[in-house]
Amino acid sequence: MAEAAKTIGVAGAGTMGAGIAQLACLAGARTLLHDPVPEALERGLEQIRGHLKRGAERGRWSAEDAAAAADRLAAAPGLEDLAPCELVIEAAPERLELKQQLFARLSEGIVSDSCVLATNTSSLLVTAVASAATHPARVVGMHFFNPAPLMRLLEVVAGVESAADALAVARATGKAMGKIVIDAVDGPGFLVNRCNRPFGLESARLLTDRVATIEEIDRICRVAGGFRMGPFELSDLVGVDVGLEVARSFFEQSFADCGQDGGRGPHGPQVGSGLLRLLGRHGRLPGARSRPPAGRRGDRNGFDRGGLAAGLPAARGGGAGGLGRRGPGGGG
Amino acid sequence: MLILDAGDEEPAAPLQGGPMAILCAGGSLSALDPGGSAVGFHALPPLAEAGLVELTRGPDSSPSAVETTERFFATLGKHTVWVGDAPGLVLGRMVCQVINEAAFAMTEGAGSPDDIDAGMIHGLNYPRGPLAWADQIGLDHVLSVLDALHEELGDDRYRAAPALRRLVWSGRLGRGTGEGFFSYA
Repeated sequence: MAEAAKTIGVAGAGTMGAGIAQLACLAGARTLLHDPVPEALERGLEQIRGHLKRGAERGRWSAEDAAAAADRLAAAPGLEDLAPCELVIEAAPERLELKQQLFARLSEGIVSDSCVLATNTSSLLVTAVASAATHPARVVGMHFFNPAPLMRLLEVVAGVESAADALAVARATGKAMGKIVIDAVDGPGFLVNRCNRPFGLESARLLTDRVATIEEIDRICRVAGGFRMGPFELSDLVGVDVGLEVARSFFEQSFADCGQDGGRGPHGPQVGSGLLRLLGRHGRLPGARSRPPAGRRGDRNGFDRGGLAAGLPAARGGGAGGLGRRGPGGGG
Repeated sequence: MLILDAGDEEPAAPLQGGPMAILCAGGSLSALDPGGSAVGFHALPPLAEAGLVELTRGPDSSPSAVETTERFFATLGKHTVWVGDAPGLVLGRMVCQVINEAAFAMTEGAGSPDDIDAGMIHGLNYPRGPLAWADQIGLDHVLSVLDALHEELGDDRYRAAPALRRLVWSGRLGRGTGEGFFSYA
């Protein structure tokens, strides 16, 4: 049985990175938080200290545990400060070159050869990120869901070359953080976001087929299905731009193959997560009402009805998903 | 009198006047009752937890079928919403497609059934795991919705996962038979 990493580096001090670092220091690991931007690093540390304090006030953990966790947390202003880590989890922006550069620099003379490098990507292939590392076998995916401290799931993703013992370290560390750990293989959306694709895609189809309105589909999912949020309110919460990026990435990772499963093809994701969302909350299609008359027929041009930017809240989740009891969740 | 036809099979004896409400699983209302006066309905188990039932009507649905069916579900304490005609209506189509994708993922070795269900519940706050949900709905019901979507809409995105079809062929229909994606023995 592999043991959880005792010294964990987190590269990227945004909301997701800080959330992961919080989990790491609470799980008893010496935790080094890195960000190339000093202000971002300071904000990340402040976020963690604030959460540790509030968690203690709310009884999620004791004040002593919070203090001990804070003591285990340190800033790593330079990438070379991550040298002692047994595991480095990157939570950098979702750009392949950026993550590749990060792992290349870390593995070319900063961390030891046995150090596990984990990417928290939700939309890039782990294998692609791993290809830049000196030892791709040490690279795995650790896909946390947003917000990382609250969502209980961790997807451990095996890239093509990931070594079994590296995956085992990721799993053990996730369990030490209190996560429910599942195994997924590398591919568009890994396991969870992949299986969730039809939730958004079919709702878009139902809308274009005029089976029901945005409001009706959301309500049916909540009241008849028991989902906490319908697909359209969820999409608005996560953000159209995020959804579009995810759709693009699904498309590219399917090698632009429309395939037999249209859900992974180009028209599906891009209609589902991009274009239709431009209709926004107020983009009610004409001809669709709560009680359709027999043989109703809507006109085809509904796209000028809603303000294009209407109904897009400022909230930006970390990715797709989150039908949640705790509100926004999803692939961060 | 209200007769609900919730079965996939032919009624043993012809119903007087035919059913008034037809379960839109194995097809849309217009496919199941061409030119008929019935209305369509669809809901997914667990029915006790479902607060809403979807209804649909065709050009020839009789006013009495509309009223009687609405009233029937109201007496059960369910809200109703009228939607357009399609196999599985709204929720059935969405959930059956999620189940289908999960079945494909399972077949391809992308994840175990346990991990798929745990992932959807704990990662995305699904009300229940899609594969356990399928076992509760009945895999034959899920397959009939997918096959009807495939046939009526002609889109390969509705192609049923071979694993799902094999389970149905082998009589493993879910909780009702003691085994489906999971075993309930």
